[in-house]
Amino acid sequence: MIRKNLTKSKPGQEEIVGFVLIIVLVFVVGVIFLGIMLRKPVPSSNSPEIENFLEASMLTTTDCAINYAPAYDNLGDLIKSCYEDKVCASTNESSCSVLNKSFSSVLNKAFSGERYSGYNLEIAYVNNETETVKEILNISRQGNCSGVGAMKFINAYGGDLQVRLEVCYSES
Amino acid sequence: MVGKKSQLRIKQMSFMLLAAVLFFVLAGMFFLMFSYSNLKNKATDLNKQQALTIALRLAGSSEFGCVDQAYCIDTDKVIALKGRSAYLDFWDVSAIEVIKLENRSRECTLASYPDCELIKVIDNNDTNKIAVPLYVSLCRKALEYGNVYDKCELGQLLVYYKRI
Repeated sequence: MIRKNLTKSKPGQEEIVGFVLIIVLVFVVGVIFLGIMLRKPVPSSNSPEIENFLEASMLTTTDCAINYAPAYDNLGDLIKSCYEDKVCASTNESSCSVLNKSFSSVLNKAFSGERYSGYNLEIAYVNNETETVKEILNISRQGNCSGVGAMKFINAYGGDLQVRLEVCYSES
Repeated sequence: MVGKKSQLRIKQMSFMLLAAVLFFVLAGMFFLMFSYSNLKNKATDLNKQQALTIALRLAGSSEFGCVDQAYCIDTDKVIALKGRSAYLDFWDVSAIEVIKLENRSRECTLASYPDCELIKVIDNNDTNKIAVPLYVSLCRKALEYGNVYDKCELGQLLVYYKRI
């Protein structure tokens, strides 16, 4: 009698196992589907907006004319003049001082709104062959920030003038 | 007895098939709901992408751009283009503006240029529009000590697209 019951319950057990397997399979597929649908894009640290800003700002005309006015340097040329410690004939100031003022003004115009909480600009000359690193300019507002940023390389003097800008966005 | 068992099996099978069909129909409806809920956002995103592409193309076009410079706009050319009806539908956007990054934003006319900050190149008067900004250098010819030189200031090219 007991033996007869055991043989009868076997197909039932198999069906239950199959049903559970199907449930597990559907659950796994559902989790994968939801995971893909709800995945948020990872923010990139290299921002096209900042890269665009660096490219455009390099053409900005400054008040520094090394030889004679009105042959004024743009920001890109002024970085080179600052590396060479040149003096501006137009203002009798050092080119690095004018570079600092001009870049600060441009940065304040672009990143002073409520959307931004700070920025950090570093300009340095790097030569990998001679392992030379010379800091040219460092402008920072509201301390260090670890937001998005971009870099621009200007080939000069056998190495690279590296312009690195990081911008922090307000949380709200 | 055997016939009854077979009928039961057939019933079981038909219920199983019905359940499977129902499951796939529900899953399909769920998927379609997810896909179509984002359709409007996707259309707006596509418009944004198109506006950004147009902004990049404009900055390098002969009507706007400086000679041999990327991300540079010749404002002397742009002020001449302002309000020309022939260009209203040329770029297929809601509006195009060029603005200097200054505290003020006085609109430019042929009389007030270059002592102004905002040039409204075209405006199709769309009510629901969003801007895509692109940083550009705004350059013009200036005169000092009898010499002409290129004076460039930082600005933005704003291409407006229609929100759907």
